[in-house]
Amino acid sequence: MRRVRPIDDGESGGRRWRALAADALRNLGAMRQRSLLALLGIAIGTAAVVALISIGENAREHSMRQFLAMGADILTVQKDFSLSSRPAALNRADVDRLRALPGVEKVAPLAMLGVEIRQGRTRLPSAVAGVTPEFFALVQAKAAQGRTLTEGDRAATVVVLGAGLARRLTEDGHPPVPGALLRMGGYNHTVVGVLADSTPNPVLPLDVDSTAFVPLSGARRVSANSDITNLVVRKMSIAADQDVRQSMAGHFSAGAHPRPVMVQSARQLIAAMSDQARVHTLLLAAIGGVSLIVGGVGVMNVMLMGVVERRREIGLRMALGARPIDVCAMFLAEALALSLSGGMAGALLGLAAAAVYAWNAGWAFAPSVPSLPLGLGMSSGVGLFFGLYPAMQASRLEPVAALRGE
Amino acid sequence: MTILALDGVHKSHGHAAGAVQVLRDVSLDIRQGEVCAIVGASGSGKSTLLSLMGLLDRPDSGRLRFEGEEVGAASADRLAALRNRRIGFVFQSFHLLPRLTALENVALPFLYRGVPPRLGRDRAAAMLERVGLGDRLHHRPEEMSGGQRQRVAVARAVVGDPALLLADEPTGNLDSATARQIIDLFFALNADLGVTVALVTHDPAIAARCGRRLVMRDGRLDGAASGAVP
Repeated sequence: MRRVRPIDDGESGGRRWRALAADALRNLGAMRQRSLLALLGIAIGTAAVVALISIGENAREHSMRQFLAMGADILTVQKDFSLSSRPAALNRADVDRLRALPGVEKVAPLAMLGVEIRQGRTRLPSAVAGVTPEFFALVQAKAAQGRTLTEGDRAATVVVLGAGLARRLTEDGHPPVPGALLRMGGYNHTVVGVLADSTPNPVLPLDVDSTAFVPLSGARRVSANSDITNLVVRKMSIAADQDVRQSMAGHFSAGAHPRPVMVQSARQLIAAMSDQARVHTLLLAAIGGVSLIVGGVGVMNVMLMGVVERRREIGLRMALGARPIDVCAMFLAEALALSLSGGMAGALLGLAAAAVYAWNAGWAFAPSVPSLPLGLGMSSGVGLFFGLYPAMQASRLEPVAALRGE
Repeated sequence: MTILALDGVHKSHGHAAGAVQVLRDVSLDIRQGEVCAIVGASGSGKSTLLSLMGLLDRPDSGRLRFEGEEVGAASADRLAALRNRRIGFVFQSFHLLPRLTALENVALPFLYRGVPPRLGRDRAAAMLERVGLGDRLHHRPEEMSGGQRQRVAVARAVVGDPALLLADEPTGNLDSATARQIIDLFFALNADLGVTVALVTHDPAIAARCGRRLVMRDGRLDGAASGAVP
């Protein structure tokens, strides 16, 4: 007759797991040195993942911040330089025609020139832009000293300096202030304003910070070739980017003499940049992942040696009533404890590395929120994955053979 | 009442051509409350028999019943549960975990029962007290003598209140005075707790004290002694 005696497993599972976890930590402490090395491997891997993701994200935020200053509603039209034999592609009439297009808020023509600026003994080759007064409102550039250009400056020899350029023109410790005279293209120009600092916007053909602005109609004094090279457009924020782009391109391609131009919008650039940033982040994470896997191999090594060295212990635990799954759980818990503590140390290390990198690159550092759970999750996943094989090996031992240490 | 019954058990070690027959057609009953010595020359199969009795191994053929339950083909988990709750082991080389204190070593079986750690430690402390080591609770094995270590091992074997206590040459690593104390402890536990004891020994003096002797010879139970009941 078979008598099945139920074994009361009614005790709480959580308590059992807590006890097993405490046991695992004690076991790890026993092989301190080797555990420490495996832990180091995991820590370095996790640090790499966290640091690289954080750096990637900070880089993206930094490039996005460039657009925030003047908004993402800016578009530019540029002559297609590959066909430069054509006559002047852009003219004043285009400005009025574009302004009339639906969805367009402001249009400013731009003549990009490169000349040498002289102030006393200082000579500085610089970008000079011939602009109309609305340009400053369009790119939201404000004067820190003096004023920006007005309609009344149309015929005057005046110049407004970007903040960075003004600093570079410093002579005897004094940057040029409104009223100072600069010589450009054989004419003295009076400085009427210095702009506030600004972040370069990738969609603009110039860096506002390091450009000297003269009235468009006076650009001819500065350089012989003062054609309008670009049109800068601000669209209404409710207008769809693609529609405005298309109607602008349509304006140039229509008529008897279609003119080749390139129309580019800030949103297009942002999309391209974030695509690129995503690829970079993925690539960086993959590199971190590889180092994490190397760390995982270290964990596997420690665990496998542990299984060999602790055969008698495994046999004894089995004799005392450890089921195969208990033995498996014990080794898994040890692998997990190893990789999690390594992962936590690595996450902190990685954030610190990313902060140092951001500080070095002059970016604002913001800890990447998803990188922490990702780093910890990856390290514990690696621990579990590489701990599984040794744990299975341990749990498959026969109690008698293990007790004899075979 | 029979705790453990072997019926026509065969067991060999190794595989195929190299297999060595270790147990041949062994049948025996262990009855509740008895103290039973298993004796025989080296290699006669004593330890293999003890592993089978302790459900650490399975017979190749024949029936093995523990407290009436057929366990020859039971699952590994079921065998582990029975070992945890119904069987206690004492080994020649003590098999204590060196990094744990005496108290933690003795409380180890409770880890696999899900008993709250504090309750497990209380019962372990009480059992260490019972084997005369109440002042050694927090010592590690390396800080204890052989006799003390074996007493810790005995405490661990009986702390879970098993029905059957199995010992494989429990005095093999001890001097004769200490050995006698350990054997005295077995008899005391048998008397106090009613635990059934089966021990493998080389020592004729110890075998002589046991109520029943099973003599192994070349993998077989010696017919003359096997049925002897005092």
